[in-house]
Amino acid sequence: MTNNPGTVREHEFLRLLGVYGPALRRLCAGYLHSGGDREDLFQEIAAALWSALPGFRGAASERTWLYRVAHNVAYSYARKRRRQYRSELQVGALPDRLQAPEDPRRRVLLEAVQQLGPVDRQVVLLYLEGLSTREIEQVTGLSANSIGVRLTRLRRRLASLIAGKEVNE
Amino acid sequence: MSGDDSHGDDLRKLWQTTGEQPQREDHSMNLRLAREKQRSLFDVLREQDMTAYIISLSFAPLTAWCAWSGRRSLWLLAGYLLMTVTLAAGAAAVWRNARRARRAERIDLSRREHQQQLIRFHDARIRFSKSVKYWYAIPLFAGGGLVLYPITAHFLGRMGGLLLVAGFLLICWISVWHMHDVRGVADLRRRRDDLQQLLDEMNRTED
Repeated sequence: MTNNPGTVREHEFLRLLGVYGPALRRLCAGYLHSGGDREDLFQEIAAALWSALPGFRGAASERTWLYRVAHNVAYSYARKRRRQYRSELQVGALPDRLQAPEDPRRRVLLEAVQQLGPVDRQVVLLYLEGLSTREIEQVTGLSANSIGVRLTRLRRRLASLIAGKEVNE
Repeated sequence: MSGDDSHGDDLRKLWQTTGEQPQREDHSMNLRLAREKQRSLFDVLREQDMTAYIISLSFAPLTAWCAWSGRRSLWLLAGYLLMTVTLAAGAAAVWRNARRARRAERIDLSRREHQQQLIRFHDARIRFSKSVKYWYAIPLFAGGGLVLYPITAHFLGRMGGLLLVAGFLLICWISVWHMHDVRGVADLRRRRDDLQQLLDEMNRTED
């Protein structure tokens, strides 16, 4: 066992990806349609986490800190990609780990999340990952009241979309 | 339990169902990629004014050498020295800006704070771009004028030479103004407005 800062950082990085990797993959899917873009975004987030890791002092919880980094990177990346390939986003071509979910309701949910505006999407993604209103407040900088109002509206909307899918089947 | 709460629980369960995901992903490749992708000062420079930086840095030694070679003519010495100092100052300013940008960049802020940080960064870039025509273009072209004037005056006479040099340098200055003030700033403003739009959307629901 070694206390070398480089090794500690590596262990910490791998632990974070081990714990939050699936959640980060879902986050990428919530922002982007194309599988290739999602993979790139995942790597961008990983690189940002690696760079930001030495600055993490525990002032915020690990989860809040990680989602701050991930969403800041995701938003900037998605914005850049939208500018570059506006049309490609409509097509949503490449397959990836999260594309074509087995459960059609999940596909409806994913598509609905992708179509939300940037602020709503961030709030709902954090909510779906199980963050409390307080934690969402810390990640977004929005007030608890604003988050509450948004979530009430968004939950209803998403639930009705999924219920509509069930009725159609 | 209210209807909204039960909807919420169902949605969360549905969202977190990741049947297609491997149970354990090997992240050692991600570690390697993350190390490679780590932003260096040169990445920041590349996003900013890498061309201006390279031009300034490569021409400064050349103009310094010209100043030394032409030291017997006061016009050439003064002109090349002015250009050397301006080019060096230009490279230093771009370098300093990139360093500041990298130091100021914090990715672990809340969405709102991060957005405000990006807007401040764009504002600083706009101010810098707008100032280039004064502190960089004017002394650089004045230096060029001092070098060119004796040559043009020799062939066209004092007034003719002066007019030709002044006209040529004015065109150069207008090009720099157009490149930085019109095109460069317009692009930065577009990006800034985009950022401001999101911030406004966040603020709207706070009222």
